[in-house]
Amino acid sequence: MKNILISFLTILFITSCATTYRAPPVLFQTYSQYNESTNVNNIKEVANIYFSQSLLGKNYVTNPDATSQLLFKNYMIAIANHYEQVNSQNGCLTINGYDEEKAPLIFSLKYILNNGRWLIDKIHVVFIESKNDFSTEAKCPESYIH
Amino acid sequence: MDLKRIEAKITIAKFLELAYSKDKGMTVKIMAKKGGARLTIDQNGKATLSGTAGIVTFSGSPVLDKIGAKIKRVSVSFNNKGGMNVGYNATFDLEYMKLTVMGDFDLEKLITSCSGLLCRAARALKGRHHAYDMELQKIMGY
Repeated sequence: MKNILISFLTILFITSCATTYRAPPVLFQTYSQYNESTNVNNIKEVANIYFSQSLLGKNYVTNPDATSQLLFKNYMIAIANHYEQVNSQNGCLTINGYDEEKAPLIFSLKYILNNGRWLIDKIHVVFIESKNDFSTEAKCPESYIH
Repeated sequence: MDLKRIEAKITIAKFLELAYSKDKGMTVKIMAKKGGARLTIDQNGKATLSGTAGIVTFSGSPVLDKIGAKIKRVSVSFNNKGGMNVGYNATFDLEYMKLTVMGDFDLEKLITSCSGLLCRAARALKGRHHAYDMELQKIMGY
């Protein structure tokens, strides 16, 4: 009986160690909030909730290019899948999807952690030729520059 | 949205057209040589096309000024895969984001597109001709 109990506990210990911990997709959740709650009327008011100070710069409120570029989400009409990698202070989110003409594209976003909130620090929109070129892992924006 | 996929592709063709109009011989030498070539345009429109065959500098402002958004830099890498087929990967550095577009085109078609009647008509109008833009669109792989 004692041996059975020891075997059971050993198996339980091994299985619990073998179970990998999967962190919740925190960056995609943050992106989803941005995707759902921003529009042409409010993007400048809420920009500092979703974007880092280094991305926004000083004059985004008056910059005529800011509204459309901060609403880069509009390039993608449908999301196919997404990948992310996160460490203690920054992370990268890669989203594969399709534009309004059903052509494939990728969003590669760098996030930084600021006062407990994940903020978009770099935006790279990559128009690809085929869905075979979709990313299969999280890639940071720098990796798309040739 | 600022810069669409097709607008970015046509922009690359138009930069090459500017290089070609500045120095036909060198532009063709650079682009037709198998291997890599590079085109960069800074925010002031200073453009450089370079490859192992040589270098062409020209003003990219006529094309840059037509783009709705402010461009900080454009960087294009070309890869001639042999013959007239040229692959490209272009990154537009905008104020808040970067945008990359890629594809391939037939160099001979691009050159001849701008020696025909359509191109002359477009130039005569001192602007851009819709039909010519449509032709560039097809050549640049869209």
